[in-house]
Amino acid sequence: MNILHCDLDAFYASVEQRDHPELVGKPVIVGGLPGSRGVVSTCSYEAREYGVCSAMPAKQAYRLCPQAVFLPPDIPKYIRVSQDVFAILHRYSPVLEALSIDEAFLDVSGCHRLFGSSAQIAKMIKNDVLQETGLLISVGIAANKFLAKLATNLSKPNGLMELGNDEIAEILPSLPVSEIWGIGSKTAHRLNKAGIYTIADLLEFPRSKLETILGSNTDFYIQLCSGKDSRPVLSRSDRKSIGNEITFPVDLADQKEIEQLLLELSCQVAYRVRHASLIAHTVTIKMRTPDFQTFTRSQTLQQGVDADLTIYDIALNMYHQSGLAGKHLRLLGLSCSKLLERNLEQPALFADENDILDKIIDDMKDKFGSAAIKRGSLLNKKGRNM
Amino acid sequence: MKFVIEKKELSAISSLVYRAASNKNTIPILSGILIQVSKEKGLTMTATDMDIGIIASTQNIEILDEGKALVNAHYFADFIKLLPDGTVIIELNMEASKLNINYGRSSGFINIYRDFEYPNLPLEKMEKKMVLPQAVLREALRKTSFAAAANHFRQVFTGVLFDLAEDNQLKIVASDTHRLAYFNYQLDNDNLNPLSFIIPIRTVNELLRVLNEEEEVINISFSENNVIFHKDNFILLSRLIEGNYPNYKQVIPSTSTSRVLIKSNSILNALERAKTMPTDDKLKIQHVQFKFNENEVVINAYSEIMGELEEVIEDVQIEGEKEVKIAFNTNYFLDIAKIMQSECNDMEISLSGAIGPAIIKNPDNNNYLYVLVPLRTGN
Repeated sequence: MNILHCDLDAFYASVEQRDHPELVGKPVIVGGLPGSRGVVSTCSYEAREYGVCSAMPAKQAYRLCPQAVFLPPDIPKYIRVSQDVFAILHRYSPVLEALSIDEAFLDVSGCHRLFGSSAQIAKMIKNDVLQETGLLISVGIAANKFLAKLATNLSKPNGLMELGNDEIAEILPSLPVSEIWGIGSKTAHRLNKAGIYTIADLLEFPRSKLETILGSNTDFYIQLCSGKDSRPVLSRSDRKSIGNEITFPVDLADQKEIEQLLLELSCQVAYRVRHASLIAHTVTIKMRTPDFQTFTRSQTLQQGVDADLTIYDIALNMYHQSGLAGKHLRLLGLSCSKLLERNLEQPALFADENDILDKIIDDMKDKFGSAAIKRGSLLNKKGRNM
Repeated sequence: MKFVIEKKELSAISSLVYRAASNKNTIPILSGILIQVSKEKGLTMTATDMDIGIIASTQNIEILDEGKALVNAHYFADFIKLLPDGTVIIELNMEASKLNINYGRSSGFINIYRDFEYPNLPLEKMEKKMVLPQAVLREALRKTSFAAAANHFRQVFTGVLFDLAEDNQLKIVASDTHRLAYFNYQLDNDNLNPLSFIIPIRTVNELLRVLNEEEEVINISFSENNVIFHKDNFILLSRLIEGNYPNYKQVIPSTSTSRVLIKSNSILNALERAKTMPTDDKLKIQHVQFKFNENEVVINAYSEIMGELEEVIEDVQIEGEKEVKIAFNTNYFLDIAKIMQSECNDMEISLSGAIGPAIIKNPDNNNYLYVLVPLRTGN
């Protein structure tokens, strides 16, 4: 039982409730605003009682829970809090695999002499996180990643659960297939249509027929359903890309406005790239037209980039050459990939003046919060939503 | 239009000019090569894609009829290049819209563009800025242009800088930000005004095709934001790269902690072997480590996939700090070593510790040098 899965409860919403005590106990929805076409990023447990859930369109969330407090996300703030939490996790084991901003695996093999049993470590983590960041974190303990994550899901919120062999034999067979790692609502629906509702159903189903639904991953899922998962906790899980996208409240065609949004996206994404001590060799923009056609343009550079304005210039150039400049768009996205560690990059002779400015802006954001400083060209924006 | 010309003469001109024609089909006439024949000027060929334009001419023809025609540059040049040596007769058949090419008892024709309006290259307001021997320009470009970036988000690094100061010193500089090549030449023109401009690498490559060791000079002029390189029977016009080149003088170190003299040939051979090592997954740049000690250097290249290479070069003279461990991009160092090997027995390497930029130069010649940023390999 050496694998811990740690997951912050309703992360964005909890951070906002922590920073705005008047919101404690109220339904809080972070994400798109009600009048917009954005979606819910996170909602507090109070909002979940009304049936609101992540990735739900903001409009629908508003219908379900009109009294909720809707807030736009403050990603830089969440990144800072997340880093604090991950630093706490790191105290207990060097083998940490971040799954997302609010979720990580920890392999505590060999750490018991220092810190005690896995359950004791989990308690210390929960205590440290609450004391130091004011947030609740759920921890699942099991022999592998799948079961540890399952333990967290079953015990949330503010959970702590250890899934031993006896519990697994008892709990696992009756769980719905949607609890299996990697089975989303679509696959779950197809399994249900085939008469497979629970994990036990899946294990009894003929393998060859199962393959028509699950494809090449069939064996992996069968393993998971048997409680087996041999994937190691990868301490330096290589990030493939860092990106962000905006769904506009109304379709946008105004080039000036789109350019401004592109700048804002560039600044957000570049800030995250720099914070991760990475440098990007590919910049990609994504544009979705009102008829839901999605177009991407990307450029790969010999030279790694991490400066706000450099990424913006590349993105802007691609936007203008995409053939979609001036056309109506409903979504705009920007991402950086081919990420390499910044300190392994070949050093440069000429300092980029953009780097110096970015450094100053980053320092101010880190110290005073992401609202403390902004590029002048991002002021006077029309109302919109992330 | 009708004229008689030797194949070699014809091919020499067309193969120089056609490369300026556009490869894209967006504006069809820009894919063309304009052929003009007049008693006054002889044969002139012109091609441009509006980024770069080349005009070349010859008097070595026999003119039967004056006139002009525009044909596809690539078709024409490819065809002419493969003709057998001997006399070629070129004749325009306007009615049939074709350009007949007769060689010996054989012949072919290329369709012409009809009723075209070919753009005029802006040559009227040409203002001469400087003159230098073409051999010098050739040497300068050969020694610097390889250091420019193949692509870079800062456009200026994809070109070669010409920087003329008040003291008539012309500095030619190229850098991809990790390395820098510098060449200096004292012009003997009178009353030159300071001037600084950046030409694209493509222009450099076209120039290098035409520059030779003959004593002729090359003139550099300006016209409407274009630079024009011209000599007898040849004009190359190019747009400039806009933007300010950063202060390159600042990044050339003025001090060092070690000065090393080492056989150019030995380094070149060691680097050629090191280049066979594939890159490793972590540091995706081919690199070599140099361990200087007393009077030798150990060169090491390691690849998890392939293996390891360790070479000892003896008879190395080291002044100043004698023990230095430093790593470089293999290909960057190799580019420089190739030039040094053809110029000098020993090359001089000035180091400033393991992370300071190094200067590599010919110890007997101060008019060119290279700055190379070492790699942080983590060991």
